[in-house]
Amino acid sequence: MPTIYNNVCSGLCPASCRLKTHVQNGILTEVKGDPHDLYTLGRLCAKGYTLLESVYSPERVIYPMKQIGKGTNSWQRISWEQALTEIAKIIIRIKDEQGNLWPVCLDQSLGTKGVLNRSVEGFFNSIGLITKIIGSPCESAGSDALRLSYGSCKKPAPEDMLNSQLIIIWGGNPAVTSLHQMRYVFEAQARGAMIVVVDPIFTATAARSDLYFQINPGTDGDLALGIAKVLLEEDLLDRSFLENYTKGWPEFRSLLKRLDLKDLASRTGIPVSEITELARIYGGHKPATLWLGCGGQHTPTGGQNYRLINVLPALTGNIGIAGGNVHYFSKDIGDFPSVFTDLSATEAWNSQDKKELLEHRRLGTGGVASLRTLDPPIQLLWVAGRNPASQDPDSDKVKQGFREIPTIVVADLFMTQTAQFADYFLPVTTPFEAEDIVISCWHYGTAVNEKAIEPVGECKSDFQIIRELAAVLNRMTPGFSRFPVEREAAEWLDLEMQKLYPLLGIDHYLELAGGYQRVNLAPVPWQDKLFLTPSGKYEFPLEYSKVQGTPPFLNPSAVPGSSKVYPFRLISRRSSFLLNSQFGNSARLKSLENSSVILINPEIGRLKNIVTGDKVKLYNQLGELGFEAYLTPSVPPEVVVAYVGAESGGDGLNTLVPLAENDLGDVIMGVKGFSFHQSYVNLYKVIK
Amino acid sequence: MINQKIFLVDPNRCLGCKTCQIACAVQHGLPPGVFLRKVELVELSGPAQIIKYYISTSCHHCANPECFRLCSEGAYRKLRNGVVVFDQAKCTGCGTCLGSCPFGAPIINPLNGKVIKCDMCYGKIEDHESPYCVASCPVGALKVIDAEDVKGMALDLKRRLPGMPRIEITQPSVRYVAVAMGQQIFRRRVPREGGRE
Ligand code: SF4
Ligand code: SF4
Ligand code: SF4
Repeated sequence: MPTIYNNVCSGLCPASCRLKTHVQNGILTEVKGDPHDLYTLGRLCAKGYTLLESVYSPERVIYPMKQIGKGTNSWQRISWEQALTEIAKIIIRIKDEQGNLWPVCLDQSLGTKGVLNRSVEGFFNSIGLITKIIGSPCESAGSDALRLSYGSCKKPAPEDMLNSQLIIIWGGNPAVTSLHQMRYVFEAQARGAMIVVVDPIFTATAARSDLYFQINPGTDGDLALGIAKVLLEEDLLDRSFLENYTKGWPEFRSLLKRLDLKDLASRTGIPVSEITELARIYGGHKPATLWLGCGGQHTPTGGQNYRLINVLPALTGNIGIAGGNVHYFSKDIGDFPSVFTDLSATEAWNSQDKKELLEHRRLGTGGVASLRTLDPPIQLLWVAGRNPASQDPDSDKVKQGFREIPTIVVADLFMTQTAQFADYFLPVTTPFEAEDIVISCWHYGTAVNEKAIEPVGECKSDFQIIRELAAVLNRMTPGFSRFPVEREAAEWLDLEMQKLYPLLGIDHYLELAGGYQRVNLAPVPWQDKLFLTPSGKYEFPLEYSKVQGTPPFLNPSAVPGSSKVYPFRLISRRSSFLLNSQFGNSARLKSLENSSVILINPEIGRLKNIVTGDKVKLYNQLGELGFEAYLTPSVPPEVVVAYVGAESGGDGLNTLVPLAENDLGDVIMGVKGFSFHQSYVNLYKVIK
Repeated sequence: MINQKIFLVDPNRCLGCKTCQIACAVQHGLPPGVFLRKVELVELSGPAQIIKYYISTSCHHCANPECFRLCSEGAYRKLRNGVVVFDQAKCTGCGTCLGSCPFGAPIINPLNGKVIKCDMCYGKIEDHESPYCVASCPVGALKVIDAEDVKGMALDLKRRLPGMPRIEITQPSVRYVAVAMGQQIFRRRVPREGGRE
């Protein structure tokens, strides 16, 4: 009989599916969805079915390795003792030579969502002040938009969509990214709700909608303004909400009056009559909800555009009511303080010496290429749960930056594009090999992830790695790290969860094994209409907060675009079989889809004599990348579409994407997000 | 009297996520790249509208199975509930059935050189459970029903959908919910072209 354990699929996916894991003689024999998971009902996605084989994959790196010469692919297996001692020596030497640890840099993200993940940052805090790469390449501009409008980034519970009469899915493709939520969308549709999709691409989600609008990429703010103007003109407003709970309505109203609907319409590519129809639909269905994807905010004015979209629920009083509001991200969970991030090197904070650094040096995400130009330059980079060589824009520069950094440590499962530039590869555990807790950022389901098997090879969890590194450092230089090395993972987890226990209705995290538990946040946000903005009201976007220095919007889409040289806008879409670059190693998933396919409109195919299956090259000022053409009317003629995480000849899609900030992200995260969808390319057919 | 089991496929729910396809392969222990079920995109453009849907298919458990008719070893059988099953012990791996099936359902299992085919997970059906594929679909786009049930259903059921080849001779035991496409506002007239991924 197998022993059954509780696990969680911990990659960067909002579903965080609970798993039931079967183990026999210390070997995983089956991984299934947990039927008691109220969000998934025990159904995984295709990726979830490959979790077991990824544990035993021959491509997985299972011993600590040292590369003799960056990018040479000449790796030597070394012992943990050697790896950690050599890394510790470098850290100590930096501190001795430099007097501080700014030349040590941490680039970490949520490659795995376990709570213990925070220990890595905690460890670095415990040795002193370092350089941290901060910010988010993901949702940050959109999150700021919500924060500025409502004072905080909150979302309704997933099942609140069942209360909606209208669901507008804008700038996202949940048929690929949120399968389980689509169950609610279909259920709402079956009960009579109307499903509207706004997207430049006729996606799998759009194909299932009742009404689809193909919008010019990056003009979401114009469309929102157009809808708002019609709502005003046709008096489809909730006056009582506007009068009682908002700030800036009179000014915003006069601004709307000044705008020309024809002008807005022509920018969006959607005719005035159709914008009017959409506005009437939105104004005529209550409750109506908006589900915003990440796609629309990855444009130069993405933050402003998301602020403008968030005007619509205010105009119609769709805030704080069941079935209304905006489904985006919630920052509520992330707001809980962490015992790990509270760690600090007393030495640094208590110093009377004025010359002592007082803060970590912070650098925006995507800044890897500039690490060597800082003063003092970075000498040691630690990468955990991230793959910047694949996922950061302008990958060639990122890789060049890596070449110049004297020591790079990568903790990962597979030999990623980033790991190819590592000096030390530290093999980490999968969720099945170490205990942790995972909290979904979408449905707040909170689950304990049990250790089901011993780690394969010599793999260790990120937590265990830094814990041992702290011990080695202290052995070499007593007191170097204040990380409490004697504290076990279980104790950390208990401490870390203290704040959440009341909201989960439990006294200890092990109770989470008993069944589905969810952090008890309000299923409908803002019911009390007590907004967390400075005014306490919903705030119209008249200008950005002074902190931003971002000018007020007037012409959201007036940003330079295509040229004769690079006439096609490159937009990336998500694949059902990848989470960014994660799962890219699975032979089974690769057999389901060619990830290096490029979608081209048939008109362009005719013009360039390209048919489906042809080899084509995409190029721009940054580089060139090979794809296989797929002709489809689902993409507009001036746009080409590739998968996020697409790889070709060892290079990723982001080789062709310039490093360009968008306009928000710095309110919550400290630095702005990225304009992933602002890359222009040309293409040609490769003649065999 | 056979009360045929039927796959009921709803293209208005199918996301194209291929969870069903992979759930089947993994739970049958098939090597990577070998599948008993496939999910395909159908995309056709008309003058004002794109017809676009995903469809998940496997063995159609036909009423007149060609595989059954052509296999010289008698490896195919049709069960009382209409499920077409296959006996690997009798299979010589000759491959005649591969070409006979209009849906390409029987395939060679590279692990043993013999044919393997969807058997509607009949053991599970006998135990009143769902096949792996049906049980895995996150949105319930796939079901197994009895032929008797078809008449009483409120849904508009079809034997084939736009863009599918017309294959009637074998009398497939699959029904599709009629595809519903919403209104589409394109920035330009849709060019007449399309294809399958
Ligand atoms: S990737 Fe997401 S949907 Fe798929 S199994 Fe993991 S958590 Fe679930
Ligand atoms: S699992 Fe369901 S939604 Fe996904 S491809 Fe299969 S039938 Fe379609
Ligand atoms: S019924 Fe069983 S064998 Fe047939 S496709 Fe589904 S899971 Fe595979």
